[in-house]
Amino acid sequence: MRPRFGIITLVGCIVLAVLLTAALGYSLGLETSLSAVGLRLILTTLVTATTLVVAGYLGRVAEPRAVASKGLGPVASDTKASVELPPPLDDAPPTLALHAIMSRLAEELPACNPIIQTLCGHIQSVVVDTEDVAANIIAQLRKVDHSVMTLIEFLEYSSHDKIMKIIEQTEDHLNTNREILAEFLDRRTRAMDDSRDRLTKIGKSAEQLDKIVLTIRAISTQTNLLALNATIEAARAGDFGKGFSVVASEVKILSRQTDLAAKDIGDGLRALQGDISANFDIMVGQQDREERKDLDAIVAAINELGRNMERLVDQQRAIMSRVQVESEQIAQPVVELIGSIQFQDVTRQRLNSVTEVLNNISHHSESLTEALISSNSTVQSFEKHSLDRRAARENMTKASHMSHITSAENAIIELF
Amino acid sequence: MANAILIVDDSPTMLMSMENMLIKIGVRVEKASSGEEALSKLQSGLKIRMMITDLNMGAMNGIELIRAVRKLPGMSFVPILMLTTESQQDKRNEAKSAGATGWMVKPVQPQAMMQIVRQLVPGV
Repeated sequence: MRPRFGIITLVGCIVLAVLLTAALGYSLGLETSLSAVGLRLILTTLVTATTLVVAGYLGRVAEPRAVASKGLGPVASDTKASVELPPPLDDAPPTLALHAIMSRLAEELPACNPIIQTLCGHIQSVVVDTEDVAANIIAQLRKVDHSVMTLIEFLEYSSHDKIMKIIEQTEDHLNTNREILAEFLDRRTRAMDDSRDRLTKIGKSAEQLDKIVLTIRAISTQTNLLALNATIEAARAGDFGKGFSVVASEVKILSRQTDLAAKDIGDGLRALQGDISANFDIMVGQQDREERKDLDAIVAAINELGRNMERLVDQQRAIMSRVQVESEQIAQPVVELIGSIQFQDVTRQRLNSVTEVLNNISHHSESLTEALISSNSTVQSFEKHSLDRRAARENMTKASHMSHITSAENAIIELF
Repeated sequence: MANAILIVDDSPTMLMSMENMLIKIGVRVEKASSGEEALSKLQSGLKIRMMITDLNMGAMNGIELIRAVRKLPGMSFVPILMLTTESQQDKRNEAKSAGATGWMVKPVQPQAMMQIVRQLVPGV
């Protein structure tokens, strides 16, 4: 019966240890990581050892009774329960078998501590490494953020100041050119009107001259009639009028010549007036039409330039606006990323809690080892070496709480 | 804004992250990597409009810091937020009793942080 009891106790202890370790590992949130596997092994070993020790001591407490019945020791006077112990393994006394197990455990338990310390070292190394990486990420994100902000500021400045100034200057130049052209056209129109007025005045002067010519011709006609009358009166005077007849004849000739000259002057003036009018229309009118045509083309080109400028400005504004929107969209995730880096601190504190649990287990392991190798160990002496469950529970609770808040969606903000 | 917001945390990552978030809303930031350093700065005459402190930090924890800060002249009504990874109710009650204005659990979203700062510090 003794071997069966030993195997059942061992198997039971291992099963119990695995279950306890699984529960502890789950509460610590160490389901997947490699360090969690190592931790589970250590915990399994420790819990198995603890359970075996407790089971061993229970056997040790009960043993004197059974041993006493065989005459190997005194029976505790206050022990009234009847515990039937299995027969000794391989014919060895039960105390010897338990001592062998305890010795074995005392040898094995210290082997866990270097592993625990190595794990703690790795965890701290991970904390330091992630801290460095997080600082580097933040530094890089700050550079990106700075660049994006600089770009946005540049775009804002360009959009609202520089480009607006360029647009205003261009519009001013276009307006100035339009005004110059309008002024030039106005001057040309006034010059044309002046030329027409002058031509009209020349025409009127010619008309005045024509009237004068008519007056001269009328005077010439009258003079001719007077010369005719004088000739008649000279003929009536006989010899006394011969000389006067010659004068009258000369006056008559002069009168005809005057009339002819006046007629020629009138004809010349009309021809001159016609020529001036014709030449004015040819020289000034045609030139004016050509100039107006050219100027209209210049005005149209300036207007088209203005419209192109407006289209260019609209396009530029659209591009600037789009770049600005896109830059702001880049800037926002950068800020979110900088905020998300906080996960490193959350992870650090979780790992610190795990380290504290590991150190707790390590101390407990050392304490148990001391108790195991002590020659005068009792159940009571083991109780004072029991695991600091409160500290372990606090750390486990802390880690457990943290495991639920690593996601920003679950973040809690409370104002008191 | 003349006065700053003091951030107290033993994690350089948190200090950098918080500083960058607060700078984005035009806040001047002062940093301290321990409760003792924060207290020393305040005792040396640093004027602040708000303090955000971690809970678990070396020798002096966040709750002890708040108790000490509340005793300083002119610090009775300055908003103090606890920013921590822990969410246990008993710790929150302890912080509240010590004089904390609010409790934030890490990681805190930048938008949420900016909103709470604007709520507690007028003019930001």
